[in-house]
Amino acid sequence: MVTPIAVFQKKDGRLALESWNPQVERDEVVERTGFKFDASAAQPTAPMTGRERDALESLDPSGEFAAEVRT
Amino acid sequence: MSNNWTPFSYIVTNLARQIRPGELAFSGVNSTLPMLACLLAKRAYDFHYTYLNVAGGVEPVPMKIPHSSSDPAIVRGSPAIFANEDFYDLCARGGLDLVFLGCAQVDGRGRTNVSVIGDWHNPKVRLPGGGGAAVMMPTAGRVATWRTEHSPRALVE
Repeated sequence: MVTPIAVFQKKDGRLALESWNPQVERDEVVERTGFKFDASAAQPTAPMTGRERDALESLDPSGEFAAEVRT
Repeated sequence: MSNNWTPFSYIVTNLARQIRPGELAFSGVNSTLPMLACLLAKRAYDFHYTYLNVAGGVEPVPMKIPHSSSDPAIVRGSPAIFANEDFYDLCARGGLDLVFLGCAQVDGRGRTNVSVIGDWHNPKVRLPGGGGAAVMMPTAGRVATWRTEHSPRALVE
């Protein structure tokens, strides 16, 4: 499960926090989530690699797809 | 490398990161972000995987990225075309390793709501419905879903 601030993985039948967007505090993820979850193994999400950034730029050079994502 | 994520880049990149080497991954309708994620993975990662989409394309090489994930433009370059019944059948036989499925709500157990908000018989909001999710969710190897909203009304107990 991916949102703008978190990545969850299923663990022992429940969603557990795998990583969070380091631009927010981990506590904000907890506050904005309606279910309880295990965050004991969570780490800040690794930054985009250069290749990921270049690939995304090639897919959305004018930002039109990005403009459609409203949170 | 700075961490200046946008909601768009965070979702697309982290959906792409769910794809594993050698997998067969599928993106469906109303799934522009997973479509972009699958195409990102093709361009950014060295490992091979097979991308199958709801428009019927296999390993497409689109000239222009369409806004709709079921646009025929996402079929361009495919060596074969899959009809709907083909990929549902493939999934039911355990042939899809990863499917990207949308949702309006998800709960702590990873169950998704694509039907209604509120009472079933008198809903506050009637949602589009699951499309192929009812078939794919229980039969795919893994399911990845996403929401552009992270709030207690989207991620529910």
